Amino acid sequence: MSNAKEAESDATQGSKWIDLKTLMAVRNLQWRAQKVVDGFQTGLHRSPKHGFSVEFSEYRPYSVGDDPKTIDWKLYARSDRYYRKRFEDETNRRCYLVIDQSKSMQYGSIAYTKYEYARTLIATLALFLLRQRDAVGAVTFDQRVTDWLTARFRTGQFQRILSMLSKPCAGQSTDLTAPLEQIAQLVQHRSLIVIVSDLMVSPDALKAPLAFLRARRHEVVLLRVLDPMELRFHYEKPVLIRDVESGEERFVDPAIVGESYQRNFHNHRSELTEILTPLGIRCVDFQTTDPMELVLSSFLSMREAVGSP
Amino acid sequence: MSFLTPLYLLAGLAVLAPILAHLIRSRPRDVIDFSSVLFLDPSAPRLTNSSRIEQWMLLLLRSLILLALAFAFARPYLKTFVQQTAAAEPGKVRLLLIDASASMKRPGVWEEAIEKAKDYLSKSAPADSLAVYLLTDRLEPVVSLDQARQGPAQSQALALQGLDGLSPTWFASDIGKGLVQALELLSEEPHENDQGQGQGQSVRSAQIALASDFQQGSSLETLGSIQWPSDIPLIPLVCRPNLASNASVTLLSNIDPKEQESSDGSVRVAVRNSIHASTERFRLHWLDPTGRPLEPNATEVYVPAGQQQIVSMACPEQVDPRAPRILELQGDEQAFDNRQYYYRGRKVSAKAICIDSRQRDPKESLWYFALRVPVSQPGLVVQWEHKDPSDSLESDSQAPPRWVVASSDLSPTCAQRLKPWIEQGLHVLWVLDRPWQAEDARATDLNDANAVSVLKNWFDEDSIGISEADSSRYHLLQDIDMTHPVFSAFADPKYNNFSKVRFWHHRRMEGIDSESWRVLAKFDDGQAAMLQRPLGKGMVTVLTSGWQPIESQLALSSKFVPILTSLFELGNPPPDQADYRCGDAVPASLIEQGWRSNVRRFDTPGIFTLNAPSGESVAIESLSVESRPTDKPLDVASDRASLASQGESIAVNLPRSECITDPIDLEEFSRFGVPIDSRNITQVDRERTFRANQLAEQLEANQRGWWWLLLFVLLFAGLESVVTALRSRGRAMLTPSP
Repeated sequence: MSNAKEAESDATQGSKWIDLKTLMAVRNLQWRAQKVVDGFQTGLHRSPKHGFSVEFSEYRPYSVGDDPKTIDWKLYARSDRYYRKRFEDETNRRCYLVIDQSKSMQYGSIAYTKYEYARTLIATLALFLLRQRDAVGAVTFDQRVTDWLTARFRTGQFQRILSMLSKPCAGQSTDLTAPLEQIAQLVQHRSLIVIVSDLMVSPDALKAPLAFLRARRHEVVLLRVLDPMELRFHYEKPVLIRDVESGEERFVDPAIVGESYQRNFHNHRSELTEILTPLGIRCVDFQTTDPMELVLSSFLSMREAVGSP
Repeated sequence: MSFLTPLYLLAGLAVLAPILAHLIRSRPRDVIDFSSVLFLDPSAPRLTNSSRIEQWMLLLLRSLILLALAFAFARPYLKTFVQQTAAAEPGKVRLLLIDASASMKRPGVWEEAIEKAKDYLSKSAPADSLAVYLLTDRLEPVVSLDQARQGPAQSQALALQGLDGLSPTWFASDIGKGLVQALELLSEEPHENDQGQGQGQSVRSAQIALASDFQQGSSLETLGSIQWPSDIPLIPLVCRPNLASNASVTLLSNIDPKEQESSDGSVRVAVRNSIHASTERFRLHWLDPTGRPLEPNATEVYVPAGQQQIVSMACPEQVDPRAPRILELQGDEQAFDNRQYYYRGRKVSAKAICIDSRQRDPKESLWYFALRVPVSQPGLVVQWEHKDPSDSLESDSQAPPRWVVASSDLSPTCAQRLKPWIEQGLHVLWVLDRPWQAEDARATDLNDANAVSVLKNWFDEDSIGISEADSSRYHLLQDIDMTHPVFSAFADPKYNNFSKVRFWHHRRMEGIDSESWRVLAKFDDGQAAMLQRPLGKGMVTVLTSGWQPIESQLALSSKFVPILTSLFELGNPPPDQADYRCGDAVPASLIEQGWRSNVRRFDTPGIFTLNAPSGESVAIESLSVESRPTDKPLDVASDRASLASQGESIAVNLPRSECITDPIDLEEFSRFGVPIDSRNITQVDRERTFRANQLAEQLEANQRGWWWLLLFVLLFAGLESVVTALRSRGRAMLTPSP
């Protein structure tokens, strides 16, 4: 959260990051992701496009049953023995990017919706991770898992992810319980699961499935995307508010319910923290006005923290 | 401050509209989508929230505009300038009629009537003259109009005092007649221009209030005979009983009196049920005059609401069919009309005598036909006796005959004996049924001498001569006096054809004094056929021809029996009515028989009988004491011991109209032109109001308050515009340009 606030203050300066409004105005999701990742990696590596992130690890004698494509034929030529060449990338993470496609994600008080922002964020993360040679999968869900892409590092994976994200979302309500349980059952290997959602559910409902995921030894990161209006809840006059998910209409006088909204919101956040902290899950809130680089940075720092023993 | 059109002040309530509009939160038109209402507490729109009123100044100015407009339209004026010129207004003449008929005895009605009457009296002005009358079939003063007129100041207390102690009677009510009488009383009220009423006083308006149950039995027809003045309203003080349901029983006795003569003593009764009846099953049974049941089982009657059922009630066994008894209706909660008292009177035996010679052939004699004429009446059994002229009438002196029919054979001796009876009221029909032939020495000697002597004996006249008329042709009757009771039954053109009654022979009476003799019919030769002359209290009727076939066709014609019956009834009039009702006058026939009464009419239902406890004073007491609601007995006395020994009784019943208790529609009064609205103001009131309105209009026009108020409206409207302009400008400056 502190990072988010810091980034917000930086964003107001408008010079350090890519202008998000302009970025989101571009329809091409791939372009958006590339721009963000390029800009971000510029500050991290001298030349991100050179060399391989796949580092040589060791040689192992070939035994029957091993994949013949892993044989180092050059070493065979020199030594007349079969050796398997093991690479660093085998130890790379599997990462599943999970995006919430519920109706509440379709809300946006500014030029773009939370889903649009989350989509861009997912694409950015996917590109960034793929460039790190991590195996990246993607999952979309509303009340249940609607689309599934197994985590892999191969050519065209990014395009598949983009293709999946380009599908129109037809979700109704947010229900994280069922999809998370489904993911826990589908993901066999230990993976990093990044969930991008607004978490407009009761915190108690999250406890069991997240604990299940953690019990399967997955690492879970929650990136909570919020609209600025959801944080501030500022209306000039009494309004009739309709829940985009349930369709329920409720008369709201901001003068009366403004305070209670803030109180309820923070209580919800506190309950989330209380539930997630014992599980070792970190959750970071972002507004849809926060720069993508900032989110990426937060993600990396979080990942380091999660990955550290 | 007063207002000329104060109703416009209600428009001032319009000021509430903008205030409410400020305070009531309207439902927002636009619906805003939001991601989730998870964090939103429901908040209902509140009606009042003073903090919501932000434009106080505007609201105040607009409210003032509305109020000022409402005041302007109400046209205010200051009453302090009005000269209080209210002159001493004359009081009204208020005539309060209280229905005291029998139907007012129903539970709750009389109490309500007295209560409403007191309320009406207490609301009158001190200057009003208050008169109170009881209304039955006539008006009886409680506080007469004269008393009220003498002291208007005390009339209210007097009238209120007069209401105490009143009670309903058993009489019928005639609202129409009572109202007409009340109007006549008011017409005797001194007019405004009369001397002694003072100069400058206005018309004393009058008002008639009627506290009544307005039952349908009360007749209004009398109202149709007059033109009701439009300035005298009728204020109905309608009193309703606790129970609307009522059934009544009525003896159908006098519809056809002869039907009551059935041997088994059964009578037809009508049971009527009211429209709003709650009970439809009733029981009828006979009681003796003391109220004990005469038979163990009652007769069940089913009468639907609003209908009438006619039942034949047989006389109980082992009871004299002509004995006095009571018919009671059970099952009805309104008891005042559930008893009918039954007594048909004792049968009286009497005789009629036909004096005719027995030596003649019966077919040529008078008596053969006369004795076959039924002249009996209800309660009077008449036996015919045939006597020869030679027979003596002395043995019958104790019981004089009711009627005597004599032929030409009437001897002077008999005539002499008949004369005192005639003078006491006996009617004699003398029929000259023998040819008057001068050559017949025997006849001449006898008849002439007899006839002259008979006439001389009765009337002391020698001038009358009797001779045989020309019998060469038959004669018919003409110049019949249809107004006379003997021939009045034939007055209808359907029955007045006497051309088939031919007279072969008749006698001629000469020297008749036209002043003392009344000729009822003549023959077509101008000779008198039937003529009458009173003698004392009695009457002598002479028929100058016989009715046997050798004389005429009269005995064979259909006219014969009605003529003879009429002649009999001329001397023995049938009873006035078989049954008596409360309110009926004590019949003259009873007075003639020697009855004395200190009341002129029957005032309570019951069966009254003659008792002779001692001496000459004979009192009539009611045997059905428990049926009498009042302690005031009918005090009728008689000095005729013979009647007392016979135990003569009278049954007096409730008036039939009182049994019809369904309420009348008050619109009926409007049909007779009687203004019925209790809020109706009199012409005087209207003029007074009109004058006051004129004065108020003049004052308002002079003060022109509305003009100032309109000025205020313009001022407030201008201020409102300025405030609005200032606010809008300030808002525009505060709003940043995009």
